[in-house]
Amino acid sequence: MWLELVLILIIFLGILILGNNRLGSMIQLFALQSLLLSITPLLIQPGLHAGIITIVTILLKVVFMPTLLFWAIRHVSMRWEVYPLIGYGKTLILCGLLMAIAFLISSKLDLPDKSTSYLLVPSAFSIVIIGFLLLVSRFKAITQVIGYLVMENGIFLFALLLLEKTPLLVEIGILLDIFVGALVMGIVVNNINQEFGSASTINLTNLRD
Amino acid sequence: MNFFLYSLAFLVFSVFLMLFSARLKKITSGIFLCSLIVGSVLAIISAIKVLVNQTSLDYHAALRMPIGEFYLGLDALSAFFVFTISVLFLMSGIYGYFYLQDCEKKNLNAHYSIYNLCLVFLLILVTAKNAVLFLIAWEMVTVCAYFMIIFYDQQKVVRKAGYLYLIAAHTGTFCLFIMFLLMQHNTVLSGGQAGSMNFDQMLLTPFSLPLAGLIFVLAILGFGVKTGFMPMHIWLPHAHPVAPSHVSAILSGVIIKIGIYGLLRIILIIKDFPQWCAVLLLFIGMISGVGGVLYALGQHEIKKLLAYHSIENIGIITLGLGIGLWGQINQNEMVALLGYAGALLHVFNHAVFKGLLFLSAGSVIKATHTGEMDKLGGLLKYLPWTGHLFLIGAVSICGLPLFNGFISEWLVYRALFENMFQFKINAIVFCSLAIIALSLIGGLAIACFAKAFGAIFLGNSRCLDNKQLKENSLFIAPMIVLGGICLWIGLFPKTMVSFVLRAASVVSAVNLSPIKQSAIISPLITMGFVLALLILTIVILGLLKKISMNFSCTKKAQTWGCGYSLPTSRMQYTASSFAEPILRIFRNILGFTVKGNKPSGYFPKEERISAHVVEVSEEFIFKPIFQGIQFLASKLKIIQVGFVQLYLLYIIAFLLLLLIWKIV
Repeated sequence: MWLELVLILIIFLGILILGNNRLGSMIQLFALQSLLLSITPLLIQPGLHAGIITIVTILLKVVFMPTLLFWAIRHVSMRWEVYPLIGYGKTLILCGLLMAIAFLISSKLDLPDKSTSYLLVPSAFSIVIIGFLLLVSRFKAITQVIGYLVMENGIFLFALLLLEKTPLLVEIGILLDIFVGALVMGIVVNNINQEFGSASTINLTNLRD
Repeated sequence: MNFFLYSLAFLVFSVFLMLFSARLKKITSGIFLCSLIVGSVLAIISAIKVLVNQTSLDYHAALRMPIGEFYLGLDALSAFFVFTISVLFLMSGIYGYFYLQDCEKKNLNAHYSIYNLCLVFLLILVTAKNAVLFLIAWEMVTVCAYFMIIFYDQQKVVRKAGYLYLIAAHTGTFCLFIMFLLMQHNTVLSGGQAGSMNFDQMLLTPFSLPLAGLIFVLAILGFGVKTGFMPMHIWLPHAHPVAPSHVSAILSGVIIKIGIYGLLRIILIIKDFPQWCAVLLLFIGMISGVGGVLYALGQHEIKKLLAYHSIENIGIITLGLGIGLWGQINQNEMVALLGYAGALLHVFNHAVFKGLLFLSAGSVIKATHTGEMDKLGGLLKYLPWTGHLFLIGAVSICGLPLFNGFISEWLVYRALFENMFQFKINAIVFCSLAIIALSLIGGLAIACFAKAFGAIFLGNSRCLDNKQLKENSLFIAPMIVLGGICLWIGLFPKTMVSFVLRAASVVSAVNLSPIKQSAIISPLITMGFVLALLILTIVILGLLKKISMNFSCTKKAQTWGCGYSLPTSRMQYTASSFAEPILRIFRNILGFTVKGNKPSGYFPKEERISAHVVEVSEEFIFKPIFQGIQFLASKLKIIQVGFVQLYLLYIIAFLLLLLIWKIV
């Protein structure tokens, strides 16, 4: 029961991130989502394994990355995602549509383990799609980073299906990847800002014929 | 088999050694010469052993490659090609060693090591018993040949020709991939060992006739681009002239022949083909043969002319293959044997005499620094060895008696006649067509080489000062050997014919009985005897004439003086004017155009006249196709906007589509 509640909250937070245009609150919402995400392993299978993952996830996704992102937006001094590629209303409608598709697909998927929760796979799908939508519909480099991280949260949920089967080392390795990825993106955001005077990816269209 | 493996190991070792000793130029070239001689002699010994003993050897390496396996086998067919390749590589390599001596600025070490690497992969290619290994070797040969073609890469035309070659060869390989996958799939379908790419396993499974036809068409497309079948030959006339002469020799002598080897290997594996495959081969042979020699007539540059002659000879080989396949399909053992034997012997002969011709052309170009026939002339007096060896090559390529071209063409002719006397309506129609085409090819080839030899070696020089020309005697040695082989096969054909008969019996799966063998060889020997007598009579008559001429007074005058009191060398017959009457007959096929007017009146003004041949398949088939592809590709640019967001959208849309498609 608690697991389902948490999953639904995660999806709601995802939708809130998608509908938000203030970067600061987007990061806060992301941190909250990550906090909820990090306790799901404990809810599924309490134990030492899940405990370690929870602690590492909290350290990385709730403490470190939001700090990095806040530092980044302070550094490039921007607050708003002003001109999105697709409007907020349209993104939300699209999001609803895609979530419906996600639920449809997951109901047909043939999964090895059905014991955890019937909501786990659909919500993982939905979070991935929300992350993708963020990536596709926004210009600012910070929003891109957030979209990437949200998508990663969805993949994390997927991986929970295999909680007891994956060794700890592999999961820690995955988390390390995200850590490095976010770090690199933080630096890239900074460099885009220095080069063009604004941290918008709309400037990055030179690589075509 | 040991000899063969030693040869491979030796060559591979030398390739690495040469790459690492790049600073020491003297030592490297020494290594090149030694390793080439040792490696190819070892390969020749192993091939001759197989051909003489009629055994086949296999070698299964312990190392497993990712998809295929390193599985080599030397049967009579492979051995014959190993023999051909090694002989020509040895001779051209020695020639090239001396030819490139003055190219100090170039990276010769890289060229030498690529040359040896190309030989290694050619040897692997013709002995590979695994389709994956075959394809790897095929691609490596393509790449090595590319680097050899662009030796003079500072010129733009060279880079362009190399690029064209690379594209053409890769397009062909695409068809080969599909073909081998189909063959493997067939093995799975008929319940053989699942997914085997080994030729041995493919050999054991029966192929249904429609599938065999499909595979055959793919083989024609895939191998045909490299080989230069007529509509697909566009890279040949561009790549041959720009390469250094010894590279042109191996390109024309060996590398285009591996397509023929591939076709033969496919025929050997599949065995049962529908009838139309043989007809298709015959038609390709006729078109390539006649078309090649006609285009050759229209060329003004010596190496381009020789390149078109390669297409012509590929046509003759294909005629032999076609009639052999016809015999195989209709269970006519004699025709099958004769046809394949003719084709195979012509493969060897063409390698030898075309090698000889390209090497002597290289010698001419080295001496005069031009290959334009209308600028040369009268070289026979100043380059006597080159000139006479060129003449030997020219006589051989025209298929005149006493030289090797005659023997192989005779075998093809005999197969065609043998098949015609089956008195079936189809056989009579197609064989008589093929015979007509073959004789037309022979006649036109003689005209073409009369033009080439006449323009380059006879008469007087048109532009250059011949007096200072010197012949480099070091070049000549390999050419003499090649010329000697031409004469040896022409006069004593028994050994080579029995070799090719063994290879042909492997291809057609016909048991070669001594009766059949002697039925094929004995007329050749009798004929050779008769011809030798004829030649002897002519020589005696010529001597008599010379002796009798000594008694009458003779007056020496300038060549082509035509009785003028003050002739100039510009009054000579040019190569273009020599070919013009024949080209005029075929002007509709060739797109032969003459620009300018002939001078008229008693006091004509200055006039310019030039004749050109339009390459039909390049202008009217490939250019429109490539332009169409370019047009469509430029339309496709719309989706490339530059926004990262849009690219991500493409990805998500595609992923969703895949997921939905997988589930529904």
